[in-house]
Amino acid sequence: MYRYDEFDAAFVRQRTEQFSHQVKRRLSGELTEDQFRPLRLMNGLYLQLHAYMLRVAVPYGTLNSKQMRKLAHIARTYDRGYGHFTTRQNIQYNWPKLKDVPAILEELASVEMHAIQTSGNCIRNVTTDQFAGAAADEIIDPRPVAEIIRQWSSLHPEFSYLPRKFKIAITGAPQDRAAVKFHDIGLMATQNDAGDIGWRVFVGGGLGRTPMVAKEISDFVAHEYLLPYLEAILRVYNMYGRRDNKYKARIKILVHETGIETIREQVEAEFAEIKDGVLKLPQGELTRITEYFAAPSFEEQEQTKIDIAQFQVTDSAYARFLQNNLHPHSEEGYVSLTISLKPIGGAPGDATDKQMDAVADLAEQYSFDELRVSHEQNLVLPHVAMKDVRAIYDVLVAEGLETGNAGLISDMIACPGLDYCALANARSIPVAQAISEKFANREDEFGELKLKISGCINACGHHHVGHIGILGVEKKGTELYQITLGGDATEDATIGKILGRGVTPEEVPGALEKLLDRYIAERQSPKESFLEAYRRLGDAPFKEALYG
Amino acid sequence: MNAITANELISGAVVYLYENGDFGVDLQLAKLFGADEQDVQEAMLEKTLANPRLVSVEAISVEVSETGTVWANRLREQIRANGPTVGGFERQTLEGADHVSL
Repeated sequence: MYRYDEFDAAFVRQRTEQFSHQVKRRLSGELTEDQFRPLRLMNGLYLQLHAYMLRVAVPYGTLNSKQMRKLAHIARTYDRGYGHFTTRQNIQYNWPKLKDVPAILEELASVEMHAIQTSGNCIRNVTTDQFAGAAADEIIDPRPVAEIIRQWSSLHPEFSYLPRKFKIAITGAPQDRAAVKFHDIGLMATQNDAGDIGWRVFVGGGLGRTPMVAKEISDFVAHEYLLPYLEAILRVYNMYGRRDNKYKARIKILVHETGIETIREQVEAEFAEIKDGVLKLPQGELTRITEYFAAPSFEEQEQTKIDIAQFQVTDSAYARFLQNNLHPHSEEGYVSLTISLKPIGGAPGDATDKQMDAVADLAEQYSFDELRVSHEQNLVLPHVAMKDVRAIYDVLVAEGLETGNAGLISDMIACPGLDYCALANARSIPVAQAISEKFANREDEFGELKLKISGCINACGHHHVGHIGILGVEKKGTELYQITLGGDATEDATIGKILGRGVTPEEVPGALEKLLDRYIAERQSPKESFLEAYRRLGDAPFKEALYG
Repeated sequence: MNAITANELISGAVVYLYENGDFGVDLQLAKLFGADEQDVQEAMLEKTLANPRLVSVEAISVEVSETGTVWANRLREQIRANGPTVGGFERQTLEGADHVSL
């Protein structure tokens, strides 16, 4: 993985020192809260309902064991012994004290991490496929380009005060596991007629109160021109994006109101001006960065298959883990292994310091020291020899991390909701817990099902793109939950439709049971997923099941 | 009725204005302002806003039960007063003191 050069190290050190001084000045009263607030937000420090929350960037979701151990150490030393992994592939600490934040940032800097640009109207942490660099279906490993984008966008002087926050996602595989069409800019690897690999560029996607699927602005941008092309998009957005209305400031509104054809003309005009300037990427630089992401030294493996059937009677939990939590790897005899952070009845995305340490040990011993954070709030050991899966599983059992539910209903995305978040209108975690407990013994019956829960319209829980989405709202002082169906965050990007009136928190599990029973009754075969059945049947049978 | 709440600067802990002018973490000790005390409430809000140790200052709507228990009306404020409804986490405590003097 990428290692900081002198520039990276110096800029993170300087920022840490700078923020340390700013905290001192705030504590002494030299800075008012109005003056301090934008400074702390630039360093990922929010004030939530009960305490400060520090959001730490995990660039494109990639970590090594040393970094994971540091995250565990911070959780243990400065917080309450756990961290929350997010849909932005970051980690959040819910209970740090302001006086401790400079020390936390110093600890992070010591392992080449920081919290810069995890908040504010700037380019946020670039996200990608959690199986990047390992997936069997990958055209290209997107991480070198993600790293180049990280370097370009970090402290970019022109884009530090954009009209609104800006998120970029990138995938190197045709099967989109990074939800690129729901980002301000989405990049998807492609191959042109000449056989060259480059990038399809999508712009203007997003969730929140105005969900939109991104539109394709270019069907092929070569690696060498990617940065000038991104710069051109950002310049057009920075110039024309609305600053008069926070709710209309994202690039999706600009693209929607202006039209993709006009935006494309503006971007192309800007691109023509700058394409051969300083941002044109020399092959040598791309090669240099790519070398940081060279494939590990895979060894030829005797075991190239795992016979799941043999465990189905003797150890059904392990069989279930094998069935759901392994992903095909590009190297024969290897798999990528998902460590679910969704135990039945748990808080989605939370991991204790002890669990983080254990996962770090596993990465070091079995996955070439590599770890990933997925946007679905799980952890991944990307390169695991099939012969080692059982040994890893046994450790996961000891740590309470063995849940074999990846891709099933209990593997849900949920935001922190009103239990922690200052923006939320309704709770998410208790609803998630009630759902996972309700269906603990039935989720295999439902098969692949993406359930996503948000505690407010800002949609941090991605409810718009859940096969089943749940949005918590406050109505006349009580929590109500709207249910949407048919959302899809993959390459077939679709925004879910609201099914009807909301239900109370207590009614949510029962409402889902009605919907899922109807799906079971209506599906053509167990191979027809909930989403496929919904697309074939439409709303009507589900409305009838829920509302009569 | 209303109470005045804020987050304390160093810990981020939720605090309430008490009768004696201190700020502390217990809603049950909060000074309550009746509908006829708008002017007093506004004056205290102004004073609180000027306190550099307090952040996110606001007046919240509360009720007092027959047994004398003070309840915040909105769920958001109930959660701030009692801590997260899941996970068993205690509320944040003040750093090195049980109250903040105004």
